[in-house]
Amino acid sequence: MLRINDIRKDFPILDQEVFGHRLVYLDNAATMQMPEPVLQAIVHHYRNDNANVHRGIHALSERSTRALEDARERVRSFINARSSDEIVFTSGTTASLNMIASAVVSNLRPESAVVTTMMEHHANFVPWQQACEHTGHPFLVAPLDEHGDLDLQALEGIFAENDVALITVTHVSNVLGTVNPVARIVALAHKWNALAVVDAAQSIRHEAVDVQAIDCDFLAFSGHKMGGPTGIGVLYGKLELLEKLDPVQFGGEMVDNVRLAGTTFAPPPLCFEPGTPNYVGAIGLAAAVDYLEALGLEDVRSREKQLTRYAEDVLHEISGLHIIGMPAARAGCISFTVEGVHPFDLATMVDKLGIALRSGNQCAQPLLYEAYGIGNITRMSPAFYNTFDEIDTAVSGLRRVIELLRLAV
Amino acid sequence: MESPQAIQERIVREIEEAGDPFNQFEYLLAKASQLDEMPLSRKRPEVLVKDCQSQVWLYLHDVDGRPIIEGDSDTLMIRGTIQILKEMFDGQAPADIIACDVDYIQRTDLAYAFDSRRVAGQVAIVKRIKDFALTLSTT
Repeated sequence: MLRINDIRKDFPILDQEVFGHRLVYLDNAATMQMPEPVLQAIVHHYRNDNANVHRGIHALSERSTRALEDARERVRSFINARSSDEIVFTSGTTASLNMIASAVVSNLRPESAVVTTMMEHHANFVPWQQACEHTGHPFLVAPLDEHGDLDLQALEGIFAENDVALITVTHVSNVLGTVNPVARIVALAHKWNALAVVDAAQSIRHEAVDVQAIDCDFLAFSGHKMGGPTGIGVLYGKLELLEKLDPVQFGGEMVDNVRLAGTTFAPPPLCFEPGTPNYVGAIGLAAAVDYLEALGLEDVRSREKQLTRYAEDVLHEISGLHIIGMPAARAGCISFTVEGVHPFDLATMVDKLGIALRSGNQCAQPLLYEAYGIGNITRMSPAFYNTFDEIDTAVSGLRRVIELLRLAV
Repeated sequence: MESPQAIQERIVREIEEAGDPFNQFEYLLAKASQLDEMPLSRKRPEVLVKDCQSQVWLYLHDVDGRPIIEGDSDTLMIRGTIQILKEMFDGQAPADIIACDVDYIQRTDLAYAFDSRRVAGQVAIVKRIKDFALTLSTT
C-alpha cells in the first residue's frame, strides 16, 4: 500500500500553483516527474564524481565509470536481462528503435516483411517504414479490432500468408492504453522464425517488463517515463543477436582498433554507444529504478490501474465525451474527444485552471487518422503520485471549459 | 476611424481587464463567437494558411482599395485571433496596416497558449494580411 502523502513529498514540483490554481499534473504518459532521490543522485554525481567514463586512469573517471556500469547492472536486474552486456544506453526509446531498425532491416532475408501494428507511436512506425522503403522489404501493418485491441487473428493471418522476418509492437499504446499480450506475440513471431521487438516506452512503469519472460529479441524504453531524467534510454538486445549486428553510429569509445586499413569495434554494448555516453542520465535512471523498487513495483502498477480506471469512469459521465478505445486491458492513459470541442481549445483552457493534459495527435497519426478517422485527441495520464481528488478536479475543470467552449461556437 | 494601432491598444486593455489567464481566454472565446462562420464553398486550398498548427482559412478582398478579412479556423482560440485582426484591419488604409506591429498576444497572458509553432502560425496569418495590404497599396 503506497503512502501517497509521503510520496508526494518526494515530488516537490507537484506542490505549486499554476495561473493561481493548484497544479494537477496528468501528463505522465509524456513525462513522469523525477523524485528527490533521482535529483539528488544526479546532483551528487556532478558534485562529487563527475568525469568522462572509460579509459580514464584517474580516480574521478574510475568512479564515474563504475557508476555507469553499476547503472547498467541495475537496469539489467530491473528488466531481468541475462547479462549487463545486453543493456545499451541510448538517448531514449526513439533512438533505440531507430538504431535497431537501421541495424537490422538491411540484414533481413530478401523479400521478407517487417510487421508493425496500427497503434504504434511514430517512433516505432516511421523508422521501420523508412528502413523498409530504403531496402524494399514489405512493410505490413496489423489492424485493431473495434475495441482498440490488436486483432490477433488478423496478425496470425499476416504471419501465415507472408514471409515475416520481424515484428515490432508496443507493449502499451500511448493513446488507447491498450496492453498488448507481448509474450504471446513474441511466441507467434518465433514460431515463424521472425524477430520480435517490443516498444516498452509506456509499459516500463505500468507493466512487469521481464525480457526473459517476454522472450523478445529487442526492447526499448526511456528513463523519463519512469521517473528518470530525459535524454537517457535503453536498448535491450539478446547478446547473441547484438553480437551479430553492425554498429550504425561511429566515433570514440566504441572502437577496438582504428587503422588506415580499417576499424574493429568493441563488443556489445559499447560498440553501440559511440561518443561520451549520457552517464549521468544512466545514473539517474538507476536511481529511478531504486526508487520504484523501494516503493514496490506491484503497488505502483496497482495504484496506476486504480487511478486510470477511476478516471475512465468519471470521464464517461461527461456528456458528449467519447473515450477512444475500450481495450480488454488498459494501462496508463485515457484519450478522448468531445463533441463540438477542439482538443487544442480544451487543453489550453484547462491549463489556465492549473490542469496539465495533453492534446494533439500524440505521435500516432496512423492510429488516429486511419483507424479512428480523427485528427486530434485530449489525453489524461495519471501516475501513482496522483490522487483521486486531482482527477475529480480535472474532470470538474473539463466540465467547466467544455460548457464555455460550447457556448462560444 | 481608430487606427489599427489604437484598436490594438484598446484590445490589450480589454484583455488585461478581463482578469486572470482563464478570463483572458474567455475574452478570446467571446471574440470567436463574433466571427461569422466561413461558408464551406469558400474554404478552398488557396485560402488555407500554411504554417498553422490548426486549420486556418483566410479570404481577403477589398472594398474601394481597403481590405476586408474573412477567416475561419477549426479551433476557437484561433477564430478569436482572426476576429481581433478583423477588428484591427477591416477597412483600414493599407499603409496603416503595413505599419502596425501586431503584438497583443505577446503583451498579454494569451502568450501562454502560443508556443513557437503557434506563434509562427499567427505570424503567417498577419503576413498574409500585410502582403495583401501591400498589393492594394501598389495598385
